[in-house]
Amino acid sequence: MLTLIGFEALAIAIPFMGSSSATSLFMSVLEYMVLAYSINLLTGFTGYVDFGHVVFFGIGAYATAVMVQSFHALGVNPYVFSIAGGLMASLFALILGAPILKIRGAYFAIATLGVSEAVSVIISNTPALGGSYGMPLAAYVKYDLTSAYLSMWILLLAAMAVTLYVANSKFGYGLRAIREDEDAAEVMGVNTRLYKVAAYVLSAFFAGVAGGIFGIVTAYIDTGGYFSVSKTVEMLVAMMLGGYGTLLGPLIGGFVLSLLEYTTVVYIANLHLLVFGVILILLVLFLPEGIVGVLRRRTRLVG
Amino acid sequence: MVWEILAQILLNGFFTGSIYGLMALGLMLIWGVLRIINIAHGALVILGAYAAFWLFRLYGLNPFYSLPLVLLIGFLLGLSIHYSLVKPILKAPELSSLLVFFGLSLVIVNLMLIYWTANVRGLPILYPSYNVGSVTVIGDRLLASVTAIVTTALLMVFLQFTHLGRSIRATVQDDEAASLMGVNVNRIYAITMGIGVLLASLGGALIALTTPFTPYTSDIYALYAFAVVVIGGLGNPLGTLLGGIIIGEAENFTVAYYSPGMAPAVAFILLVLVLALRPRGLLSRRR
Repeated sequence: MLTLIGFEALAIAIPFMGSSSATSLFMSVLEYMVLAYSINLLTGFTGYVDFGHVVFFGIGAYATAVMVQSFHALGVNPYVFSIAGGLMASLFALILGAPILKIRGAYFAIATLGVSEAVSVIISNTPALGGSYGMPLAAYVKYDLTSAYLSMWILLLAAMAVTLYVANSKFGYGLRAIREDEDAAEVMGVNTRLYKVAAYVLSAFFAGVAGGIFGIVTAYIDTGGYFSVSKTVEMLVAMMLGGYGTLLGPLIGGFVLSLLEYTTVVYIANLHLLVFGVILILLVLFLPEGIVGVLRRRTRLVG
Repeated sequence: MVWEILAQILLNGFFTGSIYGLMALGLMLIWGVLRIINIAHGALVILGAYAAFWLFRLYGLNPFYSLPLVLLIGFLLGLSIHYSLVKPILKAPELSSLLVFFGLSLVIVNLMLIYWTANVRGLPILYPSYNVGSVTVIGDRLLASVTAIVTTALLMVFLQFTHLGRSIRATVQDDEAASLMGVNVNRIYAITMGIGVLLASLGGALIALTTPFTPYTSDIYALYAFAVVVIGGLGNPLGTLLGGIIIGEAENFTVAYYSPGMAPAVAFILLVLVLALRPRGLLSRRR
């Protein structure tokens, strides 16, 4: 735990040491972690596999971009608008949640993939949102990696705090009961519908804010980048690698995978996705509880 | 004039739709027999498309002549997937198979991207087109559509009248009972995986003949195949063919009367709607 705190202190200090490439690497590490926490709140706790989780990332990015375009004259730090992106993603999850969370198992996974592809196609055919050209934001925001980095840190800490709360609350026990046996949970008095939608809305928020922050950093968003299935893959594999439904799993999984992507992508583009595929298969076959699961069995220290 | 345009749209929708139906047959079979949703199905379809494409590009083989080779590769690939990935997780929760096949899809798609690039591929037009009145019948699509219908019919005959087919249907209905009646269920699983991937590569070969493709189109075809199976139901190839035609028509009417860009959204919206209204598929029976 101490080394973790040391690492975090070092990581927070990075943008102030003036190395821009290190900062962007750590941005990517933070993004992986936050997104893994986001999908963990739904898939990790309830067992509902979301193959379309990227839809919240994309909606958050687009909502933030619209806010930045409309209100940039106010002069506030644009990263504030990413909260609106998160709220928009949550709103979408709230509306979608009731019908889609009725669908169980693999059918749910496919339906979410369908939703995310459909939203992507609809946005790329909506001229007001830039259509297939996307939305350039460079005219409204200035390059400010430090703000982006700090926003990402705040978001990560918030995601960890929420996960910590969920893991030890009645709400979290209810969610895990749904994962183990939804019908039994229902009979035992868990309001499964409410709990599932709440987890969905909560997890959507973090992905949405992350999308908003990244939209501002890259100053250009399009459906190809912000609704890509590979982003969902990254979240899912990071969560599985670290250990699903745990507090530290997304942190560890996100850290390992982002470094893995960083080291492989320089050689061959897409190599990291190939490696992720292999990791995912091996994890399911040999290590379904992830790194945290192994550590927990070995030491009973990591929770 | 309006009627002729309508006839043209209906015909185009029928052609694309029957190819969608054929492409989804393998998914339906595996889904029905093994109760596993092969999310890598789209990647396997595109792999079949590449097989047909490269055999044409490198050896000048017409996709219909190279078909036996493509189908054999598909069958063997299905068997090897079964013994390496499926067998260990048959008894595991649904999550496991979902994630394993998701991983397999990543591996196949990114191997294709790395070795064969993201360039758009496709076969040239090989057969002449005909005009019936003012309706154009594209030869390649007609042949592909006929192949799809014949294959569906053959699969139905195989499932209905052969011993192996009857064993497969018995396994679909109740694998334990089938096992008690002397069906070697594990062998049926392996053969079903083989036939499922064989059908995926056949679908791929027809897609290579009729539509441009890249490794990235895998996801789209996986989703289309799910939409088809969800609409057409499990266990009946005819339902799958009809499901495909429904989506093909819906898509072509959207292209003609609304916007070509929105066409893929139609299948996905249809898929989500059907799932939301009938969480176990449109033609599902209550179990």
